[in-house]
Amino acid sequence: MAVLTATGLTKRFGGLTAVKNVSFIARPGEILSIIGPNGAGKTTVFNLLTGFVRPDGGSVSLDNQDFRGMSPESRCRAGLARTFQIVQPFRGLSVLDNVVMGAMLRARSIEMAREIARQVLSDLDMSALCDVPAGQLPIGDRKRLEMAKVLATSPRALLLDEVMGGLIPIEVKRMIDFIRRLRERGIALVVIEHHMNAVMQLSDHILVLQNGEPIANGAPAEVTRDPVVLSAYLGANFALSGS
Amino acid sequence: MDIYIQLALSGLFIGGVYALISVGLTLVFGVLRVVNFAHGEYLTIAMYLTYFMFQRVGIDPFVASIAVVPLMFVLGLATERLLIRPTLEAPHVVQVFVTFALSLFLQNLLLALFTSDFRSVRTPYATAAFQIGPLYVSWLRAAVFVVALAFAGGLAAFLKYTYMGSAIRATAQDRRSARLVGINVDRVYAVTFALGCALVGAAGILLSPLFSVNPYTGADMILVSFVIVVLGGMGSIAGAVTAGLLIGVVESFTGYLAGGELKQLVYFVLFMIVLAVRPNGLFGRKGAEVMDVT
Amino acid sequence: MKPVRSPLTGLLLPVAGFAVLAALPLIFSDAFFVAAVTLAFLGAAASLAWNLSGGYAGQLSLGHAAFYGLGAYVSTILFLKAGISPLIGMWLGAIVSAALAVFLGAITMRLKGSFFVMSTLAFGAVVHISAINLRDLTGGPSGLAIPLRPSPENLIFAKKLIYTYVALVLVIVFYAITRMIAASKIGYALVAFRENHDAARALGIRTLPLRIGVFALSAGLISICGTVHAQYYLYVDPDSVMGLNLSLNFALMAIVGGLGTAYGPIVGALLVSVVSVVMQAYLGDQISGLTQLAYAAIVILVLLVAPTGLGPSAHAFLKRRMTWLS
Ligand SMILES: Nc1ncnc2c1ncn2[C@@H]1O[C@H](COP(=O)(O)OP(=O)(O)OP(=O)(O)O)[C@@H](O)[C@H]1O
Ligand SMILES: [Mg+2]
Repeated sequence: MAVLTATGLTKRFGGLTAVKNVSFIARPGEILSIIGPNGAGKTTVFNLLTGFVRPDGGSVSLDNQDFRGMSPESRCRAGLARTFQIVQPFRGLSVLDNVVMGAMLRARSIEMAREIARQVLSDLDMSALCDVPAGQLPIGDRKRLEMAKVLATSPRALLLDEVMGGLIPIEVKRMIDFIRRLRERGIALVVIEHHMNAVMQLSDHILVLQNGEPIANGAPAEVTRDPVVLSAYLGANFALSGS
Repeated sequence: MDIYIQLALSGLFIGGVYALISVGLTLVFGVLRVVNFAHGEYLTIAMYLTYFMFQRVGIDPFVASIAVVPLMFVLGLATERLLIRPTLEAPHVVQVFVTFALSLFLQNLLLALFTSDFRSVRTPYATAAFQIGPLYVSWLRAAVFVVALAFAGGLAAFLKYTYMGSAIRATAQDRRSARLVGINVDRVYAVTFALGCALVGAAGILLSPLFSVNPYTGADMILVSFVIVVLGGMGSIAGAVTAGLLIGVVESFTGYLAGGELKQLVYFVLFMIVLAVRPNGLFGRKGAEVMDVT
Repeated sequence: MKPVRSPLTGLLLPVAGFAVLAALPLIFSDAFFVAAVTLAFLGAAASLAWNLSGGYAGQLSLGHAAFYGLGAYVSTILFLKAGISPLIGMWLGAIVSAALAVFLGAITMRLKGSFFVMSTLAFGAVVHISAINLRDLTGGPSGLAIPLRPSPENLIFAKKLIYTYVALVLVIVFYAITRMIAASKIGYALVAFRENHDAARALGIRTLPLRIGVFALSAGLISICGTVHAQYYLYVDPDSVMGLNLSLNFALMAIVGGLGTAYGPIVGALLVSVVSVVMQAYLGDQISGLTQLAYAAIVILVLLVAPTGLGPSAHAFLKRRMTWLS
């Protein structure tokens, strides 16, 4: 079981500091949610964790392995996987082959990878879509495919970037159940989500970002009572969606 | 010593035309993110047009440009509409090979029409020269140089001072935002591509009195142009002009010192080195050219 | 990508296809046709080799003629100067090509899209120009002639038909190699890279060594085709074994037939030779350029109308028809 630790992550794009001194610990079997308004730097945090963007400061480690200088590939091999907010399917390939790409990491042969992929797809209720070209999926299914691909890598820590964006309510509900089951498997989960309802249902901890800076960090109940958060971000909307 | 100055001068003169060829290529890449591998054939076509106007009608090449440049612009518009626009969203392989196939098509069309014979425009003033100190300067080459740079300058002014020019620059920066502020991006693409063809057409006209033409002339020239465009930084017009002049001079010197055939070798090797070490070019910004790999 | 699981399409169809190909030169035994078929097979083999890297990994090389030419030159020079059999020279040429490909790949494999294409163009040009200028070794622009001394050990045959089958063997072997790679983790990883580089990285797929390795394999295999080319014509010169048009043709055959499929290059090569035979039969050699003109027009049409290539497009069309009917 793995603990994902971020310490003092900082990233500047030109004059803009997109992420400023962000630290957290994500533990196995727990869900940490990162919330914040558009452009707060949430996705950039994921890019820093996974190595797609090089930090200007700070460090990332999984268990006791320091990720400094490691490529995204190596980090995934070490057990840290992510989804993309803007989904990144292999458009020309079937849904099954998309998931096989993820499953290859832990499988010795393509046959084995295909078995794993089928299992993952069935867990996500996607078995019927196996042969559909990924480019032809509607958005809801694309989000689920994005999940399926990374799950097939059997991650120990998993970063989910707005996997509920664009889903209809019934799909959201199913996704929430599914993420809970992942937590039960002992995966360390970090979730970016705008869907406050889902955040409140899922989170063990919440980290609030604003303009790249962490402005609150704690259990959902604490965070939602925090006056700084209320005024800065949640405002009146929260009262509605939280009820 | 004088010979080196002479070499530098003649290299600079031809470099002016290289610059003009490359400016069109780099402009199209900067805006459409497409490398037009058939760019050289537009040069060839313009040279043929100039040749026939001169040969059949007796119009001087410099005068012919008044007709040839707009014709090339229209040809560019047609190409963009028929081949480029339909493939802009297509996989990369389609984009690359549609222009390569176009190049093959045009080359062989010209071959079928005009055979592979070389044709030259022989103007009465081709050999006229004047002397500055110890240097002999060909009137024609000097004029070609000046006109080539005037075209490049004209383009720069167009981009800077007209609405369409600003729209082109905005689209090159960020096509999505350009669309958001109401720029007709499709039209920008069409005009940009056509401008690229018109510019290389102008270069073809200027080359006509200097070089003879056959269906492969453009294909031979265009490889130099790739070198220049990458050296100058893909999409950078100032870079293309600078690198064009530079390559002209380099070519002139290596041609003198190492012989005609090896001069190509020199700049291709130079090209490989630039791609390996500084693929964003000597003056370009980092961006579209390399990916992180492991 | 999906493995063809039914034995019909997986094995029977290719075997039947190759049987038909093997019968072709026997049915049309006229020397003109045998020559056309031989060139089609040789082109198919070369295009299969190109497709390994160009089709599966999406590394659109236009410098592969350099490797083809190296295969032709290395075996020929070794044969002429040292009496080494082309059967051995062929492998040495392949090794030289593969080594050069590793070197080139190490430099260029991080370049994106068109930048990679241009770098391979330049590489092809460098090798081509070198071949023209290294006169002592290559005979310069006029090339090298191989004396006609027929013997299997010299890979020289008096009967041209034998070359046809040599080329067919290459096609079958390269096809098998392609199928094996395509169905392996390596093939999947290459396709992942081609389809979406970032997505591949996020799934822990490391492609650089694979891409360089397959590039080298592709170069080595195409180099063997070059040796066979030299033995068939008994003549090697820079323009006919290293020209840019040759590189372009390897690529276009695969693209027309079906990029990144094992059968695509074969379909493409056959189509190209049908076009050229038909054009020559109807027009003769009256006007040069017409065959290439027709070919270029076909390529443009295919790219606009069936961008995945004729094979896959026909397949998709049939599938739609079938689901319609049922
Ligand atoms: N590669 C980049 N180059 C320059 N600026 C960037 C880059 N990536 C992100 N930014 C900027 O950094 C800031 C944070 O972006 P980020 O995508 O991390 O926000 P976010 O919290 O995920 O927003 P959203 O909720 O809209 O997804 C934004 O202002 C964005 O424009
Ligand atoms: Mg985001």
